[in-house]
Amino acid sequence: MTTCQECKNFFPLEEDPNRGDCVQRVKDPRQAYYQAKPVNAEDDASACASFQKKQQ
Amino acid sequence: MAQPALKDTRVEEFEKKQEWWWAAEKRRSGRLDYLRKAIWKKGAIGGLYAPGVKTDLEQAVLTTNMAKSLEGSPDPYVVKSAKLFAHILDNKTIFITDHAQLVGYTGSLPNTMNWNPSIASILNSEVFNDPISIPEPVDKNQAVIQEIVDYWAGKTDLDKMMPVFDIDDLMKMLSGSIGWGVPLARGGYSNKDYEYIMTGNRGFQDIIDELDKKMDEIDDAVHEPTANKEIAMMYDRLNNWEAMRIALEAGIRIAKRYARLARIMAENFEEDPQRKEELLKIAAACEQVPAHPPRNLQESFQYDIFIQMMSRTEAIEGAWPCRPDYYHGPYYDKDVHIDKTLTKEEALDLVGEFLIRAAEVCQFKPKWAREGLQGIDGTWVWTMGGVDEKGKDACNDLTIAFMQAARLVRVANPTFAFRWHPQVKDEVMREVFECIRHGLGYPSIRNDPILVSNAMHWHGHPIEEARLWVHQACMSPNPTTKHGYQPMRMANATANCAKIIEYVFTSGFDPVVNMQVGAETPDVSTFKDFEAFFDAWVLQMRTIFSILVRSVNRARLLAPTMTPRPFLSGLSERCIESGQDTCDPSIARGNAWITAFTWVENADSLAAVKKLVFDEGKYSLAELKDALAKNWNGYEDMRLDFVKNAPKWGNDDDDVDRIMLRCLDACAKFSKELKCPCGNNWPILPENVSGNIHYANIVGALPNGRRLGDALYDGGISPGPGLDKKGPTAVLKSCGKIDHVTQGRAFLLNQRLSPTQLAGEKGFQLWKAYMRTWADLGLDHVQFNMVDDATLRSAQKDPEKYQEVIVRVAGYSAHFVDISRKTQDNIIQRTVQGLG
Amino acid sequence: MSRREEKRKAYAGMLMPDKKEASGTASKGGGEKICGICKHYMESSWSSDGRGTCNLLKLGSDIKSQPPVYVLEGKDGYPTKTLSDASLCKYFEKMTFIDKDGYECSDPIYRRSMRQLQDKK
Repeated sequence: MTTCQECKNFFPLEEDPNRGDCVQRVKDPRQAYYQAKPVNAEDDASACASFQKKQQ
Repeated sequence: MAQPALKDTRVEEFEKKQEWWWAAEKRRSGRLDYLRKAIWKKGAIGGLYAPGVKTDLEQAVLTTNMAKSLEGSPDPYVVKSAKLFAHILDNKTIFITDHAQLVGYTGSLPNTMNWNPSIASILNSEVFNDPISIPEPVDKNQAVIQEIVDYWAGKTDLDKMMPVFDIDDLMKMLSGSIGWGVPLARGGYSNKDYEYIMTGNRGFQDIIDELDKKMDEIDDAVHEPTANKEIAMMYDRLNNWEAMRIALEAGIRIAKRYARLARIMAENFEEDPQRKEELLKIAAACEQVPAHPPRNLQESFQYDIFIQMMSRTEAIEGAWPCRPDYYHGPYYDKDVHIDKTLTKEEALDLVGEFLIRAAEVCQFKPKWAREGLQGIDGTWVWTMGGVDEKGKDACNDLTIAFMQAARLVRVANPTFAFRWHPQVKDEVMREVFECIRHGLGYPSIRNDPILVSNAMHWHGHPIEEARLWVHQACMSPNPTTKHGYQPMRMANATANCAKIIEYVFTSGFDPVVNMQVGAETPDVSTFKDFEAFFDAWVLQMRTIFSILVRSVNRARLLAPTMTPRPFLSGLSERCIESGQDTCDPSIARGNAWITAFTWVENADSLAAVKKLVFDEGKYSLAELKDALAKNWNGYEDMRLDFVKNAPKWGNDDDDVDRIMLRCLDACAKFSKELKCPCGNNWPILPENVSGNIHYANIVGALPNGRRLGDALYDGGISPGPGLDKKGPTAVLKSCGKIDHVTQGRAFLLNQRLSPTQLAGEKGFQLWKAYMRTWADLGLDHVQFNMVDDATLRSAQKDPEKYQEVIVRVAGYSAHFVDISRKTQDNIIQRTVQGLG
Repeated sequence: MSRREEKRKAYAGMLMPDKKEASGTASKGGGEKICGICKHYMESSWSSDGRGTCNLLKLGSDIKSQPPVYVLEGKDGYPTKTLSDASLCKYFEKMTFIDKDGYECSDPIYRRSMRQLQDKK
């Protein structure tokens, strides 16, 4: 199973690597921004349309 | 570094043509231009949200899931409330917009409106039924909403409160015919103890340290080998403190999440070195505040934004009481003049962005709220100017910067209200005037000495506290002090006053909602003289006001236990000290008032009845009763008589002006009989927002010649549109007969001025002369529209070309194209006053 | 029964949200006969929270009971909701719609706000 921690958008917390932020770039019709959503490292990312495998 | 605006000679051309919005676009910096255009405008347009603006389901899902998991928890209710609040802040999506220097938003994405499903089921039904704001995919998300709505049915604040209100009062209130708002601690608007949290003496961590000390002390005390009533009461305080602590810690954590995101962006995504530096500054600011006091202007604004965002996570907030130039001014001074770490232009960018952050805030509101506040989410009336607690002029360079920034970013909301006093420097008045002349519709002008006296008269605020007042919403002053601030103004005490005169004719029965709402006064046709008629009016007034006030009193008494506000309490010295919830009336002085919508119709109608029925004997009351019941159908000549041949308020005509004063005296007398749970008075405050449009189809025909469906008058003590025939001085003279200290809380006055007449230095001098008359007559408020009919009519025809035209609606400004056609016409109808 | 209890009973439907009306039935457009499309129904002034009154039936009526209770005398209208099931009500008369989706005109008070009425023909 692909998990969030394998994604290049995943940034783990220093104090707890099992948690982190999924950081993504968004451009909506009015503005561009970076968003961060708290996720678990082990969350299932197999259905995630934004998943991008981290370069090893 | 602020990016300067590009030099563009078209700026002067636009200004010559008074196309201020195009000139502003050219004048403002590249950063401000981007951020201004980045806003998703969230004010409802004629009652409906704009396409693209969506209800945010994230907070609703987080709230619901956390509530479910807390069901089995042994935590006391207030602690659960705090944990729910913390869960949202810990888990919501956050974002940082390109070019932004300030962060923090109520929703998860820029185009979303936050929805808190724990507040009212009637709100939740509206979310479910809203035709356009459910996000894609609609079917799937409607199912999610359905599940959330079903979970909260019976559990929301309002669901829990309703059974403990008086059933009669509740049904009358819910009919929506006489009131406007709900009596909820989490559904109104909160002032704050800014003297405690915004003077640079403490951040959240300092408060937490204080709480820890208190809790340890009391925890020891309650375990002494004894027991009594005081100890029994201490446990609630311990729970409240614990909840405050949880909420404040969550506030610190979410700021650090923003810091982290800014650092991630700087280290991993941003290539421009200047922007990297800015992101690291954002990170530093969010590490500093709200945990610790701010050190500079950016951190001061950031601190404020965080507090507002968190307050709006805990509750629905319909206003934004604050005094930004007063509390942030010292930091502006430090950065620009002392440490010189910011140029004026850089500071202006921050000030402009601070306005933009406020402009974009939105929480999903019920339709009646949107219809009463067309074009805006809530009335963000920011208080500027005024005096300090010693009575000295408090205007500073930031006051001027706010005026200048407002002209650059041209948001309709926040809107400013300027506390004028005789020592205000000309330089500041000029900046105020320029905002008005540029068609912003703000600042409104408040007479500071009058309102300081007013606050002392009605609510007994000591003079040093009264001097620190801010607008609780559009109009009513409230100090920002320990015992003076009002934690939740429940808009439920907002009366549709046109019903007072209507109910005299229907003996209190409301034909729109099919309910006996008012007093069962005798059949109007039996009244033999005007005194009997007026007595019936007074009884209807007392009945309507009492129904609304009783509900608010009840809610205020129950709020600390049934709908606590741990976050808001954590910002308040009296709560930290006492361990009681912010809404607890025993620790507050009280600052209640009754907003009187649709007020002037009463004076005009009473005057018409007195003249045409009793003085001239032209018609009988039975005839008039029949005519009104038939909406004047078959009585058009009679109706025109009542329109044209009866005196109208605003013309310096003693016949009607004396009646107005009599009505106000009756209300003022009653205001002192009505008491809030703090033991304080309930003065009235005539004003309207866009309630005159919302209520147009709810109020029947009236003796001022109005038909069912006609727009009601536009605000406070403003004369009916087009009915003021004797010029601006006559309007001021009528309004000046009112005692603005003792006859009510405050009195809203709309005036339209000619942009052509007020051009240039001559225009400024004319306006100053007008303002001198206004001040000499002792009026407490005036606000201006300065945009001509031709522009407004063009905007109706081609709204795409006039997206940025702003008008003053009533207690707030809105973009003209965002308000309904009926409201637009109503504004155009307002008389343009020629000065000089 | 005390006067207060009688009042509470009469208004019971208005006090608490009805889960069925908030969700399940609602998403499918309600039944064929609901109060919201009856010509005797008047929404509350707020016009958007689903509460209203019947212009014909009076307080004390109950169209959900078996058999329904009809009170035609009295002052106050029978409190009911836009989505209340009116299938048992003998006084139900379907209103004439100007347009199909239940929005009578652009003026706020005349709109039927509940999306379920979009399915009504």
